[in-house]
Amino acid sequence: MSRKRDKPYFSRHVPASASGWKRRRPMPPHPEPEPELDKPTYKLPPPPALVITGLPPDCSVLDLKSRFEIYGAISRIRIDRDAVGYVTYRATDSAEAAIAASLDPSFGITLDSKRLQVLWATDPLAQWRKGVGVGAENRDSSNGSSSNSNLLRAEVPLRRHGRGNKLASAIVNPRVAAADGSSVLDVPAKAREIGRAESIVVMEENEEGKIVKHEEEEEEEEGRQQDIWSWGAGTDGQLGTGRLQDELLPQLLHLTSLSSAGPISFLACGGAHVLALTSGGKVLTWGRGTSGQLGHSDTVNSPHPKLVMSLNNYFITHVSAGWNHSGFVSDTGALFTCGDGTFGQLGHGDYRLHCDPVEVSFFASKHVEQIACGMRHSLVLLRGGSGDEVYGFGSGKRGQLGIAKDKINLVSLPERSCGFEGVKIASITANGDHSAALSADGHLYTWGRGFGGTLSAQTPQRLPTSFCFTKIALGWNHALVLTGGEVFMFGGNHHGVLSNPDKMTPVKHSADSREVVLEKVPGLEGSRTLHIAAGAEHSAIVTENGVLKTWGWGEHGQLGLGNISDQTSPQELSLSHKFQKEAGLIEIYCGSGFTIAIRTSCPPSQAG
Amino acid sequence: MSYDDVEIEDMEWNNELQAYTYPCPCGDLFQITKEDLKLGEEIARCPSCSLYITVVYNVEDFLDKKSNKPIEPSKQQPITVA
Repeated sequence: MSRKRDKPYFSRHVPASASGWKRRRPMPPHPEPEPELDKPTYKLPPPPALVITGLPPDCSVLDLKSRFEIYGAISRIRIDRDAVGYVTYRATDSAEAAIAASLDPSFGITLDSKRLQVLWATDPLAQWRKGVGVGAENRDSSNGSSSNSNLLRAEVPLRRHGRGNKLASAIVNPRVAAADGSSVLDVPAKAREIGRAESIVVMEENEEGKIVKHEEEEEEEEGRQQDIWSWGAGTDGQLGTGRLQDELLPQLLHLTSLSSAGPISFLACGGAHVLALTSGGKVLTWGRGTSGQLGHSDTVNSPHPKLVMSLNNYFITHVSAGWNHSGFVSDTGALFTCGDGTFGQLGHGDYRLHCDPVEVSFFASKHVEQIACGMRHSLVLLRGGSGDEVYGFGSGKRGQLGIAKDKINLVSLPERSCGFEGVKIASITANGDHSAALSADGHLYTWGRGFGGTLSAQTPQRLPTSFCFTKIALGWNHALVLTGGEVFMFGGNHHGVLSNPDKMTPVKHSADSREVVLEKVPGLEGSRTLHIAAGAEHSAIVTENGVLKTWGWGEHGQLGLGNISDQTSPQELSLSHKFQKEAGLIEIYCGSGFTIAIRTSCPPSQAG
Repeated sequence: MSYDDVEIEDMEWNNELQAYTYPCPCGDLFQITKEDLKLGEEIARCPSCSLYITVVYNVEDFLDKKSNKPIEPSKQQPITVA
């Protein structure tokens, strides 16, 4: 979670001129000078920190994380010994979405079918629970005004017991610092780095202590055992095994370049390449590089993970891999793209390929939150002062850009997608010629190529259903959606029968040929699903019990079942018998014809 | 059964392969050469798997006109065929 970046944040923007600040998030009005810390103030904008109660007794931090990260990027999470959870999001919107979801009368937020109570950390009820005066610990921070200038307000102490006993946490809000540009430069470099890296640091009573505490967090992170498994099509090196061959069974990757880079927090798998984002904001890539999509300054394949050096000066928070192109978002809201630009999908206003990530200048004065790369197009999610905005660029022949009612061949500069005015967007997704967005309140919008024989949609269409969706995964002809722990599929009429067309079910049409038909995925009863992923023609899910299941097209071993058969229903898959019984959390990612699983096992202290 | 029907204008000319190509879900490329197209072949195959697509095009566009190449594909732009 909390990790320092190795290089100063501003190394690319030095000197910190006006342009150095332009990427900052929109600034709220400058808050009052630091109020008296010994009495709680509720007037300041609340930090996006939540207190979760009602957790199951055996709930681990990873369980909590996987349940709450669907509402947005989490910067900090922990559970104290009273089974009270603390989740701090990077963005207030995410926290609001989590609160809203928890209040939904029909679903709420549950873990192990226990309904959770979610409160703002600033909520008097949450503070009363802890029985601790807010900010008391920070009063005597005597290390001078430098860190105080970053200190917005103190938070409920994170732990009353154990390691965090004597510590109080404080929100270091970059917006506050940004509002007073001169003062942030006075902050010692180290503190500034930490603040930018995570927005949140844990503070002790003095500056020394802050650093010590921070490093403890790092150790905790690295104490987790993470192993990475890959299987399926591998002839371009996309499995990271170093061998250029398909693998029918999960292969454990033994890679020093991966382990030395720190834990992987997120993967993006494209046509035949992989982008791995570390929790320290670094990016490693491997697989097909013939269009420059690996960002290694060349156009060759890489069978081993390699660090994207040109992004080293940035803290990358989000990545996406398309068929042959890649997108990277930094914590400053800058977007970089590289790879094939034939259809304008890099957004640079031309149709060239770039073999190093190049900043998309269109977004230079805007704050990019997410990138989603499809086969030949890209979507961008912006958080703006006037609400969320989605942009599209690249091929638009199937309507996948959503930028106009008329058919658009291609655009090489971002254009705003229609139909999201006033909608809070939680996430965007693209694959094949499909595009999708999930709103913070659980509505699903799709545009682009139709599913299962339905017509293409030139503009985003909200799925007319009462379901509250929490995740979506797009393939080339199908989509998986997750709602209340259940998985539904649409467009899957030839999912799992590609090599045996006789078994193909007739296309199901509803009265309106634009309307998709949601079908519940069979064979998943009895266990809630936590993660879903879709390759071009295969699917994978992970249940809350850590069971991994795959189905769909299997010709390249992408189902990991040891054969090349197709499967029409989810089949359980074991990474390794040796690890089967160990506690751990599996996250699953699919590229076009391959699959990668990351298994994180908790150290004993966290497992239960 | 054909995986998909793809118009020739949606395929990309690949100089290295000397073929029109389209992404295959396995990660490789469906391919068809100009010679195939001149012969009226409409199936583009993927060298790595069993899938194939049906290419939608006019044979006339690929027949020799005074031995000139009918189309001069550009390296950067997607192929467009009249």
